[in-house]
Amino acid sequence: MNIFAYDFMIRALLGALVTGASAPAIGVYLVQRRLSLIGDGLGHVALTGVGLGLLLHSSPVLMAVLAAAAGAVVIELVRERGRTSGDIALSMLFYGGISGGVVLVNLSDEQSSRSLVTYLFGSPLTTSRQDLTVMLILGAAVLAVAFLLRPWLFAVCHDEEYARVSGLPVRTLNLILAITTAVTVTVAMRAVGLLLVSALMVVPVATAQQITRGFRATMLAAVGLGLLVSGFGVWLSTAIDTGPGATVVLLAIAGFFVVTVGAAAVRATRGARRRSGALPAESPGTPGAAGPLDLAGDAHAGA
Amino acid sequence: MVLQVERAIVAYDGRPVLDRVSLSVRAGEVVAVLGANGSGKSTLVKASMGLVPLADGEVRLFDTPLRRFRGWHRIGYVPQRVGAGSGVPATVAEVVAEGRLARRGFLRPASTADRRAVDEALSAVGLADRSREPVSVLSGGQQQRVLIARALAGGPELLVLDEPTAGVDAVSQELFAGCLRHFVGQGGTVVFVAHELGPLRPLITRAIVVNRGEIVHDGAPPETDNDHVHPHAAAA
Repeated sequence: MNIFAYDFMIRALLGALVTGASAPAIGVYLVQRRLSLIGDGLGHVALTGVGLGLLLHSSPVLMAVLAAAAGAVVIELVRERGRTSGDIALSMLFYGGISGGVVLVNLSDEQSSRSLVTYLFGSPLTTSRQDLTVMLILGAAVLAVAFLLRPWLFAVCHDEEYARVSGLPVRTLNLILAITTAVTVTVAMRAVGLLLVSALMVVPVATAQQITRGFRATMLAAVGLGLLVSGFGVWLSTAIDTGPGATVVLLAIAGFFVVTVGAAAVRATRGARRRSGALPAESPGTPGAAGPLDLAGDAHAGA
Repeated sequence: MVLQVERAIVAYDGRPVLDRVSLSVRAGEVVAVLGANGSGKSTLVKASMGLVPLADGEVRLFDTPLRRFRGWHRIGYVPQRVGAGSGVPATVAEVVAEGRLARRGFLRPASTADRRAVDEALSAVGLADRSREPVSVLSGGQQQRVLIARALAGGPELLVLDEPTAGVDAVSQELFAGCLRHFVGQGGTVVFVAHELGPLRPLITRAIVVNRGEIVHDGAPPETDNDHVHPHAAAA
């Protein structure tokens, strides 16, 4: 069966690949900064934009970009001030965002919950030619920011104090990152949906960093993994008739576990060989060196 | 004057941390800022770098008021080390390359000079052979040397270090002292916060002791680590 004989399948696949590349490319900075779940929150906020777009008969995608970008700027300002009450402010924003979206969609002409599900969980098979053009343009913009600004965004995410003393435009870079994250959320809306977008920003990065040694390598490997799971996921979801977004995300998580177990096995084998004297001893690790599995816990605490 | 702080007041949540502190550092000086935990010594250095806002007073770097200062490439800053193992791995060379950004034009690719400066800075701290390794596998002292290499990579005139010797092994301390000696020999100026002087003692030209947000001593370095400088912290 050649499912790619159909135009709509090609569009679905291309849309998924754009998402698969751009989400981890920007996600690597969010994981670095321990803001892994920020994409999830922005997805919630974007739903209000979708609702507004449907209600006002303008483009839901455009309104979602605007709403998510506004949300991203608010989040960045809260983060910058570092207030403990920031947590509560973010909760208000996220849950207000998703509730506002639901109510606005109900009020619009397309009040059916079907269109809501489309945005929440994605529907790559209904990607129109116009949708795909928008996704390609926005996706290219996200990739350009993520790759061309890497040294500067890395510096800001890795050590913000040092970046300040280097005279970097820290606030501008933070806002660029926040707005690019918002755009990524909207790009991914069609392919995996607003509720699952964060998974594609985080899981490929979490997987890649178990086998990589540097930031650039992690970024490239995560983008590769993102492309792989989204492409294969869309194909598989058609073959076994499951939701494409959820299938892509489950594949990504399966990949994470395979790599985790594989990496642990390699480490254990090396450890055993080192103890028997076959390999030179490694330099001492530090307690600060977080193992990749710490990520999940931190992500929940940090968002 | 390389650094001037005039009647600086810093307060956290209304609680004064620095109370009208004034300090001037000339080119070529090696100044140790000493004091017990919570004395305000780190805050003094952070305020000098514009990392902590002043409630009142003024900071001037290279005779320019802080808010108009743009010559950040003239400063090499080493923050207090807080577990370099962050979420995503980063190689030693990637971290040290951050030190070139103050000199590198925005959106410009790294030049040959940038790469050479990273290599030289890593050689200076004795980590040339570790450049492609993740920072997280290095020891605490080695991680501290990475941060010093990052500060040196930009070719600064003033080095500002916050607790560079805290929790650092003897080998790294000696290497660090050697780096500073070389830097000072080339006309560099150093300001560093420390708990104890250790192998850095012979390099110091001046010591400042901060206590409860005020400078209580400014002059010759104390004779030992156990005198009036920080009686309560001597055990640490």
